[in-house]
Amino acid sequence: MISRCVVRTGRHFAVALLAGAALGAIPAIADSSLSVSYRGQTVCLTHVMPYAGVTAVGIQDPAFGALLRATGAVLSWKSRERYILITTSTPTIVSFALGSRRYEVGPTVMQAEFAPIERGDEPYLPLDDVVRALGLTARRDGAALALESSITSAPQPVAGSPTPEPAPTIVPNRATVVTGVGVTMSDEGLTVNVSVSGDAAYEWHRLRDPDNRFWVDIKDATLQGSPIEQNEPAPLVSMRVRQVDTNTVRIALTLQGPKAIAVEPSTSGLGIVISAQDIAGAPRSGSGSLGSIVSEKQSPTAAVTPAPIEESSGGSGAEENGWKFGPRETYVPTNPRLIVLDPGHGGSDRGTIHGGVAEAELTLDMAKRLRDILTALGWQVKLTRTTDTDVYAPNDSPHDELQARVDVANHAGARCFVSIHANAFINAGPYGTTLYISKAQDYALAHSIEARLADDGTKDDGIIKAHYYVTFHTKMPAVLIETAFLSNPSDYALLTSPAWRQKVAQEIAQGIEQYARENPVRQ
Amino acid sequence: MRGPRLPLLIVLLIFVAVAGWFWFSRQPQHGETIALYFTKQDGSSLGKLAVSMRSRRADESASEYRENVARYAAIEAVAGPPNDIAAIRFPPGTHVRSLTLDGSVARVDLSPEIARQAGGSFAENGEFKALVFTLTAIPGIDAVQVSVNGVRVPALTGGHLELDQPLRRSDW
Repeated sequence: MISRCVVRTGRHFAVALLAGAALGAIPAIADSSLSVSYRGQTVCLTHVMPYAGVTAVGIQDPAFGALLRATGAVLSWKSRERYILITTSTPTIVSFALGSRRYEVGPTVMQAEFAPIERGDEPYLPLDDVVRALGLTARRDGAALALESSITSAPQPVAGSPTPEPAPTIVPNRATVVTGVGVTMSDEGLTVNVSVSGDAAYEWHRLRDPDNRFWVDIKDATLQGSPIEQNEPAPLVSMRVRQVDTNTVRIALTLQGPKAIAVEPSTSGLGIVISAQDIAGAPRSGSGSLGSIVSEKQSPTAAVTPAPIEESSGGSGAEENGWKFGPRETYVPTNPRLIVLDPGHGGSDRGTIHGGVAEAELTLDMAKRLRDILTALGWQVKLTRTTDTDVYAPNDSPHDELQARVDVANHAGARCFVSIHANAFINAGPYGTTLYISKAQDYALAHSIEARLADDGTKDDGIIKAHYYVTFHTKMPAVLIETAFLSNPSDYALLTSPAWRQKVAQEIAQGIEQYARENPVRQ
Repeated sequence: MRGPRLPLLIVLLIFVAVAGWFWFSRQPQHGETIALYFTKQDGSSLGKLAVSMRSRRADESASEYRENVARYAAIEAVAGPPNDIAAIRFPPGTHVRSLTLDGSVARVDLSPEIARQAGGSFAENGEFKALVFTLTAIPGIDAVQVSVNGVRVPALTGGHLELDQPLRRSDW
């Protein structure tokens, strides 16, 4: 299927590429399919068409969806909605609007090659802008379009908007070779020296304590010699070096704890300096380039963990004694990486209804958006319901329905429980966001989320203690969020805006991240 | 002569004291006020109104009087403050079907209209908070057990508050 796509599109696409090269954009294609490769995988876009001199891609193209997933991005759109939202792996919200050339990449306003259009019931986006928004660059690779992680040119903002800082350009160099990896000890700790010939981009990640693993990927490089797997002295435990795919060499380290790490690119390779000191709140990802152009950029708030999440026994038993005389939570999650989200109401229980909008639909939408973001951040996420249904049974008793939601979290041994709702009153007066808790251990979670939601565009009504069933009976830290009032006109406008719901989901995710960071699980 | 008179006087004084205590204990109490709480439309803070109670009737025991006071307070709390006060109010038509005291727990049976909530937790939370604070302001009452139309319910349909256990001030 893929090869046929390449053959069928090759000649047209090559001509179109040449024609469009001068425009600096992905050129319009004269055919209805396009091969795109990314990290060694090739997909065939079939919902593509030329538009305004460039390529338009339909968001319902399965291959486009696969491509987004491969980059760690998630697209959200509902039929008849104007906004198309893409949450990238960093995560950054990219917001396109049908009929508008302006789009947003995080806080930056950009101008697209053309205003997204709708063909049938499918929005089409300018592929060039999507690629850039994902932090990728497109280059011709034979008949296909090759996408690569970009630290090259950023999209140009419209006049008056902040100008993204220019980044150095990396010219892909197939001759880049990781020639060796060595370890040296010093008073400051231990340094892993990665010798590299040629220019290369790299990207590193680390997992959260107590899973103290770190890895760096050298892009477009090959490993010279055999893979390495060996134990190392403190503060390391072990090191592995291998070719993880045709284009990437990975150096993976297991640390003895949450050690401070400095990544130092140079003209001859990369130095990874591991301190003997533990550090809290360390950046969890970064990227840069080495060789003739040296750079390093950390992403302190990024927490992308694309590696398979495995439960590790890497916790330090000695830390337990630190809690002997201090406060200690009685709840210990059996799955500390699992968040249970509870979209309020659903099925036979519509929740509040105003202006034809049912609370049950909004809460499910927000929970799904939140799920996507948390998943991109490396969390496991379980929803009490994934469709517009009752959790227990249609027209069930309140007790059965609420207990069923509680059971999902308690049986899974989740880290925390977040119930999402929309509020209402008999008049239009009240508005704002309120967080409800029942147990003492709920407060820290609610506080972290409230801090992020404080500027969500409506009033912050703070944290209120109440004897709510789901927050009271869940064993883990739990919070019930009344995001805004459907009965208030301005809050109604917010709740019915997909961009706002995405923003709220983003902020809740940030709050959960902050909570997890500040409240590590004690075994 | 002097000797027999003293015991008689003591007996008389004791009789007067006992009779006086019995008489006073059966008299209505005057000037008692209770606090009627309402939840303001910020959803959490409370306002209150002081209401003077009628005197206890002669045929009314102290426990009967206390129960009647509690019943009156519950009725007023559900009815809400005067209309010119911005408050969270119970759904229209909601009323107290009965109230009994069981030790320190006030058992309040509400009419089915309580289930007609506007949606969300805002009103529900404010309504029950006002009811519980009002009743637990009465000496000797520290919890409120709610039932709806004679039936104890774990929660209102589409609601959030757990109602199958007595509610206390500490729940807020």
